[in-house]
This record gives sequence, structure tokens and C-alpha cells, in this order.
Amino acid sequence: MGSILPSLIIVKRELLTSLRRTRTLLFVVALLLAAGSVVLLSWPSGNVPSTYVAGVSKQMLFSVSITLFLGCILFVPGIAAYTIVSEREQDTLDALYLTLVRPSGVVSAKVMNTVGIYLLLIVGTFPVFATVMFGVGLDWSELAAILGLLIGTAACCAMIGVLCSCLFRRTFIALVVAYASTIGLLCGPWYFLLILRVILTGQIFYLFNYVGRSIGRADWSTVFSPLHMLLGIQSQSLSAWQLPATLLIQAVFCLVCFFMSVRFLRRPAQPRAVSGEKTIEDPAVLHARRTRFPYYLVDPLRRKPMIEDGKNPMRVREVRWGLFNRGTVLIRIFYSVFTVCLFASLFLSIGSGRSVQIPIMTWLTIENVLIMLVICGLTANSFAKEYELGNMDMLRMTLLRPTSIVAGKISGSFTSLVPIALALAIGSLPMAIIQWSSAWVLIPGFITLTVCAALTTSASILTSLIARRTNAALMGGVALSAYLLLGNFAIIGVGYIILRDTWPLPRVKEEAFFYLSPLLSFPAAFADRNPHAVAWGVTQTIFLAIAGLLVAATITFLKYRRMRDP
Amino acid sequence: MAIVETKLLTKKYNNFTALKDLNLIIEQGDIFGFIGPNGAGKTTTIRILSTLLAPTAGVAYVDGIDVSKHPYEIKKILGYMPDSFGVYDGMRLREYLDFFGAAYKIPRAKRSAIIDDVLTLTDLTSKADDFVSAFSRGMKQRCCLAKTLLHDPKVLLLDEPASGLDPRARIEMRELLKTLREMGKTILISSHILSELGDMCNKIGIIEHGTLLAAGNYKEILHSLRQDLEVLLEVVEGGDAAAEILASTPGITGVERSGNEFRMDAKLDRVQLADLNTRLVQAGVKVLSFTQDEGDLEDVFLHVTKGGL
Repeated sequence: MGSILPSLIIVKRELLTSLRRTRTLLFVVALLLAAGSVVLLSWPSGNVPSTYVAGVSKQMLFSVSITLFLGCILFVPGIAAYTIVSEREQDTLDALYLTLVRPSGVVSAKVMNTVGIYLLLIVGTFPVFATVMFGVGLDWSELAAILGLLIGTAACCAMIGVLCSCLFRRTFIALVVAYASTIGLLCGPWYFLLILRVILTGQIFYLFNYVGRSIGRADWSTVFSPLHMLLGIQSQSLSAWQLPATLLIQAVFCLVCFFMSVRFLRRPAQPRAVSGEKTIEDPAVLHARRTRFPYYLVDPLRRKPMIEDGKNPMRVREVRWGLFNRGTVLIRIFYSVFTVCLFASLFLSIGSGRSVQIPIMTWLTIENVLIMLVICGLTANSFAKEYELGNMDMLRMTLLRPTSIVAGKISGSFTSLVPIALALAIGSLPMAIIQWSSAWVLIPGFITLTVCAALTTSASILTSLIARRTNAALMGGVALSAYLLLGNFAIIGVGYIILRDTWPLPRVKEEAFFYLSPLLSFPAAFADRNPHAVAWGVTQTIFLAIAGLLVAATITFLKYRRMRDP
Repeated sequence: MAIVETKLLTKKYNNFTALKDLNLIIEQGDIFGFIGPNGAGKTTTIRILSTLLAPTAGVAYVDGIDVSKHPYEIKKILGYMPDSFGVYDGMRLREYLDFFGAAYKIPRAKRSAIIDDVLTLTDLTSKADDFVSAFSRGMKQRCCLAKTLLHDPKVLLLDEPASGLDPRARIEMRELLKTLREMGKTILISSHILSELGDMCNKIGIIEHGTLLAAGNYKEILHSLRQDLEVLLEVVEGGDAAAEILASTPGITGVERSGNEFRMDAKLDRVQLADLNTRLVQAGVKVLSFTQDEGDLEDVFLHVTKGGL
């Protein structure tokens, strides 16, 4: 038992370092502001009938809990995934190995530190909780259940992050896998089944009704989903065994991840394998290889032609080495996306009766969200990697203008998306052929997808340049992209709904708020029989212009940084 | 003709002054050794000259061009090799150099020949098709130097080029720099390995706490620092007689004897020293050697710097 106790010296060092960083304070302030705003917006105005007071209090508690839950999903895996891999990148892991601290002590210390930071965030929001508790109808057992669930979730997220950090050598990969695993494992199989059911019935707008209806059931699958359990606590619809079962599952999951992390941490680091094969210039040999390995798009041993005059070397490098060196991975991605897309489009076409317009839109909106996550992953390290590898100074010393550098990076990101976009387009063809009358909706769908991709790419590249570290760039890129895609709708739209009675500006139709989001404007515009193509077009144009502004900001920032040490 | 010149160059990071009123002149064709303890301001100076860092005050010129006002023009004539740098994954050496050649706007028609030349110069021709990420530290240093030489810069700024190299790689790097000197390049090189700088550099600058303490030919600096000559005498026979003669000679002070070896400070000119040698021989002292200890760069460094943080 003693071996799994955390090394206190590491906990102390990590916590002290974390608390000295400005970003910890920023996390606390951001979460406090978000939770405070939620309570402020939910606070009832005027006289509330006594029968509704308890409901209002519960609603506020629920909103704060969801904010903290989202904060956990956003911050904890990122912080945890950086812990071990950063030691490896900074060459301090070997020094740690040489001490008498056991690997289990290192892992538990890293987890404890990450959960500790999250606890600090929760403590920071205690004033907000206290405010909520002024309302009637709440008791301490609910608060304790919520806090227990949040801490358990934070521990799971931290364990996933640390496990990824032990598994991978590069921060970037550790972060991406940690976030993907967190979403995949915490949301659980229940959400997958729910989304599939919604797609098949074409009722995206009733998603939350499905959630509501499902909460009342003592379904065994719900105990795997902390978010579902949180909703259950709020509606007091959980069976007595469900919450303990969730906490038990979380504890078992943490233990399994812990032992796996220790095992992987003990594994000696292998030097990266680098191919020793020389390039081939003999056309006959190249032809023979081509015959033997016909799946090669570009033979990796063929000598690449020199960069032509007048071409942007940065673009050539990003495309040539960024795309073709990852050829195998991208081909696999192509086939995976194509397969999923093909099955989905066939399901939608055959299983939805005569009109597939709504299912197509639903599917394209989901595609959009997935592609945004992929783009953040692909572009977040575009500049951060240059800084981390120590190449940025050499790049700044060349005659390349900031515009060329940024253009090269954007080209590289877009080119990496080509296989995915191609798979989506080809995979959607059966849908277009089978339901020809509704297939036209694919065109605005793909335009929306392109605009959202441009927006996410420009946001991620800007954060990558400013942040200089992959983990900060990835978290910043996801946060900024999420804000640009959904933030205005969420803040102004939800604010309007809550403050409808005291809204200071002219009243508008609630549907209009969908046009504050490039993502949601698409289903909003084309759900009716009479599409609002103009409003959708204006939204897309405005957000495309915002993407252009972000690119301009990136170029300006790079110009500024040319003569400034980061 | 000064090719690098700084006037009252100052760099502050908040309250910390990294560089204070630096006045530096490097003539064309000089191999200028920039020495100083860690944190003295060497890298800051080099980064300002290479346009990567803006000075807080003062100006710096390279070939008469203000580095702050015309960074793009500076980059055409300047090659900078940082002390720590990375290499791109998945690129072969020739591709790596081709990328940087294109980034320096070298026409494609000339680029191939230039790459061959720098590969020959840095002795990396046999590694042209190898992945740069697989190179050893020494080869990466050469690779970075090859990249730095691609656009044939007039001035080379080399920040600790030999750090982390094994003795053989260090000797090879030194030979390479000698070749560059013969090619007429002006080189500013910062290093902690003082003995190597002494061999290569015709001038040195010593910097500490952001202030230039001394600059110029290091033998001249040593002469200006030392009031007395340090003379070494070794005899085979007649040590006692030699001690008597030395003690009775005006201008000889601080005689230290260790068996038949003597070390002394002498306020004598060259003729007087020759006379002293003659007197020793005439007195029957069998002189094995009678030499002046000229001192080396380490002596200069220890004399000039104060140490401490």
C-alpha cells in the first residue's frame, strides 16, 4: 500500500510551481466568472411563487455543477497529459528515475497534483455554491453527491491524462489522445447509442428531450456516464444504487489506469527509430518498387525534387513533409472516415423514409464538430512545435516574410484535411444518389464545413503562435474555436432566453440567435421547407471574414515577434 | 573598416540589465572571440546583431546597416548559428539544406551546386541522404553550420559552436573555422573554451555583467594588464649562484624558487634581460632555459573578470 502513496516532495514541487504560474490564477478566475455568470443569469427577477423557489435553486445548482464539470473536462486532461511527457521532453525524467522515488510515487504525485489544482478551482467557486444555497429546497446531501461526483470525474480525467503522458513521447500526441479518451470514456456508450438513435430518427432538436426522458430509468448503462449522473442528481430521479455504483466504477477505472501508468513509466525510453535507407535515384529500381508496392502514393525513397523558384518554401515543406511523411496515417484515416461516413449515409438514406433533409443536416453538423476537433489537433502544434524543437530562431533568420510562413502553415493544415474531406465527400455520395431530391442540402453543408474549417484553422494557428507550448496551444485553440463556433449563440442566445423579460435591446425571434453561430446557422436555415439561404449566407460570409482577420492577426503578431524574444 | 559596430548598446529585461552601453568594433576579416561568464550578455549581443532581439537603447550596425531598422537586409549578409537549435523530423540533409536555400531565395539553378559546396566544406557529403534527426550532436552542429553558410554571408555569428562536442569533433570544428577565416569571413564567436579561442582569434572581447571590460588583440591586452614581465629560469647546475645574482639585480622582484626552477617578476627591457642571461652564464650557472611567460587567454580572462554572480 505504501508504494502507491504519492511522493510528497514531487507534490510539493509541482503544486508550488503550479501556484506560481499566472495561468492557474486565470483558470480560477475564468471558472469563477463562468459559474458566477451562470448563477447571476439564473437568479430569478421579481416575485417568484413559493412553489417554484425550490426548482429555481435546483436549476442554479445544476448550472454551476455543469460549469464545473465542463471545466474539469477542459482543464484536467490537458494538465495531466503534460506532466510526465514534459519531464521527458525537458530531459528531467532521467534525473527523477535516478532518485529513490518509486515510479508509483511519481504517478500518484502527478495525479494528486492535477486533482489538487482542480480542487483549488472548486474551492474558488465555493462563494458561488454558498450563494446558491441561499435558496430553499436544497440539502447538503445533494451538494456532497455533486462534489463527490466531480472529484471522482476529475480523478478519472487526471488518470487518463497521466496514462497518456506515460505512454507517449510527444506532448502533442499525449494531449490529443488524452482529450479523445476522456470524451470517449466519460461520455460512455450510452451517449453513442443516444446519438445513433437521434441520427436514425432525424430529431437532433429533440436531443435534450431524449436525455430528460432517459434520466428516470434505472438503466445500468447510465452509471458509466458522470454527466448523466449529474443530470440525475438534479432531477432526483436516481436509484439509491446508481451513484455509489458510478463512484465504484470510477475508483476501479483509476486503479487500472494507475497500474498501467506505473508499468509504462518503468519502461525504458526507446530512442526514436529513424530510417537508415538512402534515397534511390535509379529509375529501374524505383519502377520495380512501384510494381511490388502498388499502394505507395509517393515512394518514400524517391528523391524529392528541389523546391522551385518563386514557390513558398514553407508551403512546400509543410505539404511535402507534413502530408507525405504521414502518408500511411492519412490513408488509414481516409479509409476509417470513409467507412463510417458510408455506413451513416446509407442508414440515413434507407432508414428515414422519404425525406432525408433533416438527417443529412444532422449528420453534417456532427461531421462539422468532429472535423473541428481534428483541425485543432492538427494545427495546434504548427508554431508550438517550431518553438519546442528550437527551429523558430532559424526560421526567423531566413528571408521568409511572416505572410509566407503563415500561408505555408495554413496550406499544410488544409492539405492534411484533404483525405478526411475526400472521404466525407465520397462517403456522402450514396445519400445524394438514393435521395436525390434532398441531396442539394449537401452543398450548403459542405460550404458551412469549409467556413468552420477556415475559422478553426485560423484560430488554432493564432493560439499556436501566441502560446508557444503545444498543450497551451491545443487548449487555447479548442477554447477559441468553440467560442467562435458556438460561443456567441450560447452567451447571447441563452442570455436572451433567461433575461427575456428585462432584455434591453429590441426583441427578436429566438431562431435568429442560431445565426450567431456558423455551425448552427446551417441546420437553422435549412430545416424549414422555405430555407433562409440569405441569412445563412450572411453568417458564413461574416465568419469567413473573421477567419481572415485572425490570419491577419497571426501575421501581425509574427512580424511583431520577429524582433522580440519570446 | 568596421563591419560590425555597436554604440551604447543596452538591453534591459524589466529591472535586469543584460547589456549596458556596449561599444564594440569588429573589423572586416577579424575572428573575434567573445568571452565572458554565463549570463554576461554574449548571447544577448549576438541576438541583437542577428535581428532576433530589439535593443532597449543604442544602435548596432552590420556592414553599415542598422540592424533594428533594416532586419531584412541584415539577414542577407549575416549567418547566425544559435547555441541550441533543432532539426526537422523526416527530412534528409540535402532536403533540409534545400529548404533553407529556398528560404534564403537562392535560385534553384545555383542551389544544388551551393549545397554540394557547403556539404564538402563541412565534410558531410557522405551524409547528404541521411535523415538529420538521426545525426549525432557533432554532425548536427556541422549541419547547422552548413545551413548558416548557404547564402554566403559576410559575417558569421557563432554562439558556442563547440559546446557539447567530443574532442575530435571540437578539433574538426576548429579546423573548419580556420578554413572560413581563410575564405575571408568575419566571424564573431562566443565560447567558454578559451584555449581554442586563443588559437583561432586575432581579437577578443571580454564581457561581464553586460559591460565590455576589454577588447582588442589579447597579447596587447595582457601587456596592458601586466606591469611586470613574468620570467622563467631553469638551470642544471649553479642554482645557488643564480639565486644570488637574481637577488642582487635591480628590477627583479618576487623570485620564487622550486629546486632548479625560478619564477620572477622583472621590470626590465629586452636588452637588460639578455644582459642578465649573460651574467648568469659567466658566473658558471648552466642555464637550461630562460624564457618569458607570455600568458594566455585564461590569464587575461582571470585578470579582467571579477567572477561572482
